[in-house]
Amino acid sequence: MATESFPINVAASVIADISAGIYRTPAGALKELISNAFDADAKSVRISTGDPHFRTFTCTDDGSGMTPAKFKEIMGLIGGSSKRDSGQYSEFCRRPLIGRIGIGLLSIGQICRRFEVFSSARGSDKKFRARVNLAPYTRPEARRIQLGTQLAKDSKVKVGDAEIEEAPESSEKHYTRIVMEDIIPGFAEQLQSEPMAVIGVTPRKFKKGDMRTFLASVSNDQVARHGAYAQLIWELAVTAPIQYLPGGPIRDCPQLDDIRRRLEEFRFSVYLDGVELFKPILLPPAMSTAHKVYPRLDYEKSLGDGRKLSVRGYIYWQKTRILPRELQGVLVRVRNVGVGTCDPTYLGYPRHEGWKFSQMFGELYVDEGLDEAINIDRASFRETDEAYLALQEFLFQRLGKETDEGAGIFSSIKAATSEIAHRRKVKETAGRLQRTAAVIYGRPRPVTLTETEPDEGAPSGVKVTPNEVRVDGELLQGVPVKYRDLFMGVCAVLDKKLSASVPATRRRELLRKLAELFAAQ
Amino acid sequence: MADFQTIEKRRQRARSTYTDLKKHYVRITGWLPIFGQYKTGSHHVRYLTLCAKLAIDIRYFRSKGLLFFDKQQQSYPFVTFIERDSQDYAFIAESLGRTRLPLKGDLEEILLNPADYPKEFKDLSGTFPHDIINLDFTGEVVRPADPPYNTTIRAIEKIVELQRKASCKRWHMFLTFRVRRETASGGADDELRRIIESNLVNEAARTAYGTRPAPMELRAQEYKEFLRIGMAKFLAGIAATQDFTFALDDSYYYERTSPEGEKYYILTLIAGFAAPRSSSQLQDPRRAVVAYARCVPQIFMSSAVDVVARLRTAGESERITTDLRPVLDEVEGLGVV
Repeated sequence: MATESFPINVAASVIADISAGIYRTPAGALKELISNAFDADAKSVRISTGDPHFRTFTCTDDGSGMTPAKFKEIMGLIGGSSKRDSGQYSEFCRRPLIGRIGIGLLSIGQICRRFEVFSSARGSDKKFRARVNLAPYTRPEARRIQLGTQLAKDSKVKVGDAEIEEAPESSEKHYTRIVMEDIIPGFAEQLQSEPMAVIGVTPRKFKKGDMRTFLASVSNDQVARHGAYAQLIWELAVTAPIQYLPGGPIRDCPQLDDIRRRLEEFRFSVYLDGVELFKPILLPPAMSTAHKVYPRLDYEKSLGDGRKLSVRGYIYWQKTRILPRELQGVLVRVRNVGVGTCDPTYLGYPRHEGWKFSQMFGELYVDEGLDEAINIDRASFRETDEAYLALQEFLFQRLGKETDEGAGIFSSIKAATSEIAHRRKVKETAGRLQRTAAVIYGRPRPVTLTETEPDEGAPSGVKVTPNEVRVDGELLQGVPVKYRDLFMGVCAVLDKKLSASVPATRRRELLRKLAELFAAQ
Repeated sequence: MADFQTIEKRRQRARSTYTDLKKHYVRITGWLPIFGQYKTGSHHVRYLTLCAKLAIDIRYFRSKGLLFFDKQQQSYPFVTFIERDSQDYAFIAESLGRTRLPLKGDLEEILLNPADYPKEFKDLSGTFPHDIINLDFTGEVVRPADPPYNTTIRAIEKIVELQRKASCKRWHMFLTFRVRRETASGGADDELRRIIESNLVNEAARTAYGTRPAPMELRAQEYKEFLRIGMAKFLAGIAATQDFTFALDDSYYYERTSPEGEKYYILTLIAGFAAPRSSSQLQDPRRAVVAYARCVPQIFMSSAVDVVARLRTAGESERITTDLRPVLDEVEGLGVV
């Protein structure tokens, strides 16, 4: 049989579709601009959204800027980033580079159809303005242009038009400013929307001010309940390589100082509509909340394809549900940038651990090895990638099998939970006994419930141990544990009824007899 | 759209004026007391401004406690600003934080072509009424290439109309523009001259007009005074048609030189508008006519403050410099790009 071979082509519109639809949320698109600024050694990025109508977005950073030639190179070959050709670190601040394939600028295509870029490169005495129009390339005609064999010189696949003009600029200034207009209607509408209202849930009000106030205002339930703009703030703050709120992520946890320090050393700030963002992670919500930190989830592994996986992380658990709910799960950060949001399944942990998942939060800083596993949306992973599988295995092992303390995190949590439950039970029992003692003696009397043998010559009051009950230091022999509460109750009734007519010594005698009776059971 | 180099030259010019003491003199002596009139008790001043890149006016009035700023939320909930230049808009929006309405666009285009800018017009008109509207134009209000009834004039009319539609009882407009006889519009000037001349048939107005040269000569000899009276009269006319009374509270002028060496004046009018009737009264055209007739002599009797002369007064420059310093420090701290 004759074999026929034929070329495989892709419509040009695929590129346009990609440029317009890579990111799932508004924050996903803006996150790319922040990452670009981080890679360009910017100290700060200022974003304005045009809140409350979201008609114009702007993003300005004081990074190294671009020359017109560099801009043309980036826009002329989307996906052909050369950022890491000269190393893994940025030129001036030696930051680990985030960008890898050069599509960050295209994220703007998700926000608007028309934008202007103003930039001046470090040391240059010129600036440029580039006006980019993506609109014509989202039309149906673009679907008829084929990629592949027709990618000859004269049939380039165009995603947009760009015009560049130059003007003088002070050589001391370096920056990139992007002004986005003609905002895609759905994008602006999404930011104005309150999605929970659609399902009949009253949207909650939140404070747009400083991050601590914002966090307090969304911490009762779920950030999503506060609308899409609250989610935008949340996602940007959680994922960007910025500092934690002071004291964060975990209060009084010096073992995490190295993580805090690495972010501080970047000296990188992001402002959204005038407010400086900080990672809104500050746990436990109050120091009185029972909690536990597993501070050293560190891992290094050489992979078969020559890559090396390097992880630094921690897991936090608290007795109560973690709120807002968006913090329940593990957040993987690749080169300090959050990939997606917290994963409540812990990378697909195979066993059902019930309520524990809602009480845990963790971060895994992956410094090496995982870049290639990130999908193009930078919000999810290719789950068949060797590095991802290694990370998954490591996490599962720490959760299920072993920790620094021996047992797996889940077992440790279970033990901690039992311990807390036991302590609570002891406290409750003591309270109950105290109330009973008050009934017996007509006034409150101190009651202690001890786990050990009582001291000799115990002071007055009722003392109950698993093996004995003492009244005013006198041992009431042999009341079994399971009858202690019942015994005390009977004592109370008798005491109440007889206190007026029977002297105290007689009543104690009666109790002794009763104790023997219970002991005989 | 203008080419990039032209835009940059214009921005460069605007930037060089932000430390201008003459402009700040007008802020202190003209604008500040008016803000004080509106900031009473729990009422916050509702402010619409063409604030330009550094938004000195917003920062200054905030620093004086006259413009409400929610520090915790980094928000100016009673400020609306409009800026057409992309770079300047970005800087204002990013450095101020949230405002009641940040609007990128051309004020005149938006107001006069609502069909082309439906969303922008809706957003902008939704912010009315304002207590103070600061129209600090960088250019002339009567331009040589435009017809006398040009877009700037029509935009001002539209603003007064929007204030009336929003049932504003009392408000002020600060109108600042460039005056240069060499580049003025002959047609517009002729119309302004005719308006002034028509008023001079009235005895009271003629007396108030005083010893000034006749309008024709005034235009030739004292163009800035001619335009000051003419524009004030024009505003008074608009006020009357929109059922407002008008008062020219103050006016200021000072000289400037362009980078090309051309001399021109900056003229600022501080105009008060008030509804002559309560909401329960019927509209009475006679009331507006009477109010207009009353304000004409007041305009003719007024005189503009020569800012340069005032700054020559001992200690005045130092006082203005000291007053402006905190705002300049704030602006410089922003790391302007």
